[in-house]
Amino acid sequence: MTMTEAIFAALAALLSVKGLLAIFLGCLWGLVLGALPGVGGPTGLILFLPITFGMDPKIAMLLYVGVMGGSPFGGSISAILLNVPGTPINAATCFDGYPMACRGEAGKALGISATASALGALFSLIILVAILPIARAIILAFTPPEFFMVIMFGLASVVITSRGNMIKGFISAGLGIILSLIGFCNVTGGVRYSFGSDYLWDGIKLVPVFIGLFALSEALRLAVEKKETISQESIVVTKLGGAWEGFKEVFKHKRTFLQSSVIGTIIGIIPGVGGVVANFLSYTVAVQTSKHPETFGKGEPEGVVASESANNAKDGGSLVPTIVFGIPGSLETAILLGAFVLHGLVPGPAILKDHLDLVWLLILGLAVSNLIASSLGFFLVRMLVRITTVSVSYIIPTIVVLSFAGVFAMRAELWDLLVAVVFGLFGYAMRRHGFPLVPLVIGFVLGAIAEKSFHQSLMVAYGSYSIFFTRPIPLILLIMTILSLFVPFLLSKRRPKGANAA
Amino acid sequence: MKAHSRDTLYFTLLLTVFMSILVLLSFGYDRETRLVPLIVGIPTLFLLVFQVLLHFKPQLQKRFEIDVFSPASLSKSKTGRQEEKGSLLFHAALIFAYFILILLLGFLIATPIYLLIFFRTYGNQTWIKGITGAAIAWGLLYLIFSMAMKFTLFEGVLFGGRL
Repeated sequence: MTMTEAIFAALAALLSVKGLLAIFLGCLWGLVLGALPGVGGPTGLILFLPITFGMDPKIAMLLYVGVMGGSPFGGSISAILLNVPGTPINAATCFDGYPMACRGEAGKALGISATASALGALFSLIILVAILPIARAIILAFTPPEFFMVIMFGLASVVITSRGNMIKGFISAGLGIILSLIGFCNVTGGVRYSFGSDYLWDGIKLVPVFIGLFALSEALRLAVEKKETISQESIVVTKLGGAWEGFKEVFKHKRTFLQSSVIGTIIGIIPGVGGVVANFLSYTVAVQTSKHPETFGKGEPEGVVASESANNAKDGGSLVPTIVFGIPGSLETAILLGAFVLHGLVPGPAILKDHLDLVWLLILGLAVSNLIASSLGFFLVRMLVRITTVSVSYIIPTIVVLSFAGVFAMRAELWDLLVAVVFGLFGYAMRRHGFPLVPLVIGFVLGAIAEKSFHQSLMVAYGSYSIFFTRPIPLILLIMTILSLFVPFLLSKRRPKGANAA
Repeated sequence: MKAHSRDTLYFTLLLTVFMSILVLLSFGYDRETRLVPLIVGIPTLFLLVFQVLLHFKPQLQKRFEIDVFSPASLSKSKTGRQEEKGSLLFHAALIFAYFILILLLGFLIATPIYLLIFFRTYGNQTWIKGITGAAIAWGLLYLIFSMAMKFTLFEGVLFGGRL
């Protein structure tokens, strides 16, 4: 089958009544599950596995890519409106999306999310099409030392994001890394800080930590401060509920959009790293490269652009190793590979040769599902922003109940709820006493991955640390990391005296 | 020293003790297992001790504040400090009680009880409104998780739920 024949075959399947219905249903399912904290896209895909057994493989694949396209935007809805990320890959959206909602700009934030999500996904799919022939070389260029230095650069960005008090920022990041090291170490085989508990042996999971730190601590803050509604000012209501302003905002931040989409695509290509890292890394790089980093974390639209474009761009990127090598780039693509096998398809290089039409169906289907999800978002924005004007006496219990149900739904582990409660109180205390939460979460996400890459690098180099200085990519990243640590000090020196106090 | 500053000092001291325990424990692990925890833990502990000392030198502390992210995203509370502490304790206890109720009775019974208590105390809702709100929330929870997703929410140890 030639490329042209494959594209036409894919289009014929996609544009059939059954194909469009499948992708629309998948997308709607993904949106709803994505908005439910802790449930997310993987759960939606898993629930489809038994249903699609015996179905035409092409229609089944369209259902799957529908879910994959819908769930990231669905996750951003609850992240923006309730400060509860629907899926872990929407976590960084809370940092600026929720403050925007508090300012009465929920519609604008949702518009940014809808636009950046769709465009981010389209960007990565274009890249996917372009790099399919050279994908093998790109994947092989990133070995553990390169990856370790990418993470170090991400962690150094923590300094920028926590500049309220540099020391407290470092402390938060350190705490985050240490907490990520709890439990069994995959590299050394040791168990750390488990205190004899079987639960801690497996480590602390991101979802209860994040929901505790952000959602439950926010519920506590709303309750203690006795506010009447989430939105502190009257909401901005235009014809599209502010969504059109959000659409334009993405084009105002073209550089951030492109940069985050590139990061999302690259992280997606690297197998096993996932959308959470793409989400946080693109956010921290956006802060570092912004002309006004002081506005991040306080409702900066650029922060939502960075987070949402990266987490959707990751999907296109993760299809590269899935299609080229049969190695899943993310949890969603791992389930997709399972679906391949279920339908008698062999994942890996053979699929490029024997089922090129299916490859194009995945690519085009993912593009269409992202467009459908974002269009639905625009359509529903006027209704969704009303949530921010609902009395907090309804919002607080909604956050608490959704958080608890979401944490439990993730892996049916009751003690995750206790972890969420503990981190809820801890998060409230951290914020109350000026310790920023963002570096803690970034440290927690990247800590264990950094340790793994660090040990793998040392193994490759027979214990020599020189591996981090003698290869070009790690060396460049090391220099960038060191330089980034000095940026805040240089900026503060250049500012006029008293500017900080303003 | 102002009351809030004193509370911040106590919190920082608590973090320092926590980190000290983790660092001390790290020395008990084998060389490779303790490597990263010590590389991260010792500087963090040093910074915590430094932060404690900075509480007594407010002028020096200001040199490390560059105000890009404000120290806390918490806006100023409308309530007084004592009232705030009482409210925090009450709501933290309520959330913890919800967890205990889930543990004992399961999600589907604990949730309406928690909601009813919340609506009656914080929301000052009438019994009828409280019961209606709790019933709607229970219905949604049952519909989404049990009916639509076929997901078994925890049933509580008193009703055969296994930990």
